[in-house]
Amino acid sequence: MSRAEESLARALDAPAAGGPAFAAALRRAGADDFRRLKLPTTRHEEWRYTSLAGLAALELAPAAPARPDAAAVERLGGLPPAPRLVLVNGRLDAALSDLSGLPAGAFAGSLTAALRERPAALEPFLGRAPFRDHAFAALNAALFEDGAVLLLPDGAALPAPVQLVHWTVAGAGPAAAFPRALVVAGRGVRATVVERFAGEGSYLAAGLTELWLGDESRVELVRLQREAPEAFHVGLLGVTQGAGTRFAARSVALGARVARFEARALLDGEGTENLVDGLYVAGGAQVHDHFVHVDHARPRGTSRELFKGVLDGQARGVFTGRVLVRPGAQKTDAGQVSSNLLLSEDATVDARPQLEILADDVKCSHGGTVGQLDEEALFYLRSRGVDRSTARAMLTWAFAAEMVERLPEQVRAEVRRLVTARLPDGGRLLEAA
Amino acid sequence: MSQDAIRELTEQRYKYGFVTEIEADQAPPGLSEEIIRLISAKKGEPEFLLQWRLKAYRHWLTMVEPRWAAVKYAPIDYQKIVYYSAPRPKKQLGSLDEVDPELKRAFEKLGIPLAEQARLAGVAVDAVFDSVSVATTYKGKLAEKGIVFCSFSEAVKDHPDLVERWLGSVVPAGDNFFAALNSAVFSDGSFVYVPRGVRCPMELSTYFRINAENTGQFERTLIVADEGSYVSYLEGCTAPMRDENQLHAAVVELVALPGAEIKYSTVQNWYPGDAEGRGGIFNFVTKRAKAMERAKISWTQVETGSAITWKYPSCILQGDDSVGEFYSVALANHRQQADTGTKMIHIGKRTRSTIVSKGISAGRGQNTYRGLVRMQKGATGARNHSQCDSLLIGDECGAHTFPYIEVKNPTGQVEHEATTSRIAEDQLFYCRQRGLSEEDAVSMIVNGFARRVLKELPMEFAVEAQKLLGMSLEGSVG
Repeated sequence: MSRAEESLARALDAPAAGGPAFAAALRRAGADDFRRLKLPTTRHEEWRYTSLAGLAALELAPAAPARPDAAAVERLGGLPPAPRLVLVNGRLDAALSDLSGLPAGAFAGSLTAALRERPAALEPFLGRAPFRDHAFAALNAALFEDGAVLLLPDGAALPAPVQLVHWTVAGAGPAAAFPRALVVAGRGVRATVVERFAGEGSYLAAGLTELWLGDESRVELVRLQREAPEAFHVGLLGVTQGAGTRFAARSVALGARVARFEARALLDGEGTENLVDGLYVAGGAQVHDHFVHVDHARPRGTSRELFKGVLDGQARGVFTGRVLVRPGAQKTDAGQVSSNLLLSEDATVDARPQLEILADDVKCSHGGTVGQLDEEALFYLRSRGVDRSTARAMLTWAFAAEMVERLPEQVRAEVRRLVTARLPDGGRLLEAA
Repeated sequence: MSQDAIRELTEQRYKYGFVTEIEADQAPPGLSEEIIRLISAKKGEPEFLLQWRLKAYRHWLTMVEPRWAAVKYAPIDYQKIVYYSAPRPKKQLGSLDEVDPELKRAFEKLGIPLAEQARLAGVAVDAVFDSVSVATTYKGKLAEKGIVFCSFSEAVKDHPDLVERWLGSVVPAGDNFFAALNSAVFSDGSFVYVPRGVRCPMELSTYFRINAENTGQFERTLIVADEGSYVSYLEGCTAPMRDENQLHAAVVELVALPGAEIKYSTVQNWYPGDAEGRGGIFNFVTKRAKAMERAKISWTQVETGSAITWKYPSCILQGDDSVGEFYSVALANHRQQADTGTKMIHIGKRTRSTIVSKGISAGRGQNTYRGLVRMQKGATGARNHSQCDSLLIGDECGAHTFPYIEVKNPTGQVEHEATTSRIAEDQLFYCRQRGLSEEDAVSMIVNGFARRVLKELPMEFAVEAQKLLGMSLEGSVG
């Protein structure tokens, strides 16, 4: 066993108490599963391109309750507008949270409180997202301290995005936090949720977000990952869609030493639409790994994935897209595209766009490209008097901009600024703008 | 090559008609060092080959059978296989009338000439032509150019230096489970050496091969094209092939030295089993080529047979400016399973590769494309384009695509496209309206779908392969 596994195993031996029986069962199953599965290595097919050796070497302690002061809040990116739930080290911080602007009948709050006060509303959903035999889902189930819960009744329409803020603040040694969120939308809900991940110090943030869409709902989820440079981020997103629903996940990954975002969508009703987009900007020795699994279980589903990566330094980008079309899921229309821009000699990309098709009346496609900046376009800009690094920054931004423009307008300007600042020589673009 | 010449060439086989002292020359079932020593001794092999086999065997013992492919089959008992049995003639039939009518029908549909039908079915045809002279002319023509084309066993005897130098240079003895097994026990196969600057004047084919019939289930092929040479090699044939051995684990190694070009075409139509998939061949093949500077490798395959096909003809593009191509049509009907694709490993600068894969699934067939494109750090300016299309016929089959793309050089250009679709109702309707039967319509559409691959085949092969696709789909519609 690695150091990380040993230290995590100690945490598993001291399970959190309290809560209803189904929550206790979830924790037990999670602990058993993790003891069996252990941390994945590159020998696991699903992790062959992303090494967690750096994580395995850490002595991890469950992240203790923490209270960031005003300066720390600023360093973590500041507080987004209300309504917001702020979780620090996986626990809801009521003082930093602000629930104004939530429509009547909606519930937003702490998972621990919801488990105590309304267990029946949670039981059909909590821990039921399609993550089977997944070490990090198991770990989160076993060790989550608290979490964010958002329950939206039938017909609810959110006027503004709900912000779910996940901060991890490590102490002296490496910490492990298990942020968890559960969003249950009834029938015909209209909602936008923004999840933000940030932190300080050396830590593992192994998060799990579960989303349930009742029939005819439309939900958009923005995911903004700005973890600390030393952090390991594993973010799991499980979505189950009812009939006639539309779901869009838009991920922007900028931070962490090693970050893995894994989305699994079960299209469990007829005529659903599922979109998963991602932009990742990695430099230095960062690893950004994206894994999207779309399960077309019913007829007439549409799914689209578009991922774009900008890789500099010795960064590594990984994309795995797996579309499964089950027998009987006729009239499925699935498309995947993964494009990558390599800016340096040492950056690398690995992509696996996969299709598993067991129905015949389907339209499925995937495409992928890997390349560098177009020398002719660079030359054109330079011939117009733009210096080389600004020209590079402009073309890089042009590649990434499509993803930013797809974001809901409430976060677009902010993300544009963050992404531009992360691009090599992006500062020049800001100056020019 | 004219039909007469083909017929002439096909006669010579009986000249070598296995009249040697081979009865009951068979090793007991099972695998051990003794068996390998026996195989090597029976074949009168030099010491280096024996040591090579033993090394492979010892390595094989440490390996586990891979399970990652999307294929399902009952466990294989490796101790029940007979690893050495000397070649023996197949039962000969008196005339074409004795041939299994189903087989005859297949021959007719494929348009195979009568004389050839007889040869394929194992009918003892009177040698009208002087087969000795044909074989001699044929061999003479190649010898004139200095080309060596013979069975692997002959090569070991006559050209041990060439064999020792190149054997295992592309697929090492311990490469993978099935390749290691093959390396330990391979029975026979083909060997080709084309000298520097020589363009081989004819398509080399196992079809017209003088030797190396009955090479058994562990076939080994080694083709070396020396600098600036060219050779086109055809393997297999469209006619249905039956074999008593269920497991086939062949190894094919190609070496293209600087400026050389090797074109390797395969048509595989081994027995796929009955409609329930019972008794079909397991075809687990390792095929790999190494291309040096400016060399070119082109793999073309039409895979319609076998219960399970599991093979990935690959190119190691080692030299600068080398080129790799892979054109594949794989068809899985009834209960057939095909897991096939390619690996393009770009090592040299400005290396280029093209992948065109067309998978057809029908009945309850499962068809998987699995491929890797890797741009190594030094592969500056390398390019790849991959196109993987799947066609589904019926709602109980499956089409899967698992491409792996690994890029470690920023100047690499990699493009991958894949689509999956079924035969459109309107296309079928259009054809039916023009008076085509449904089967003919499907066959026509499928051939259109596979056209880009079929046109890479040498002409005679391409015509038969088209018919073969149509035939293999019989009973899959309606």
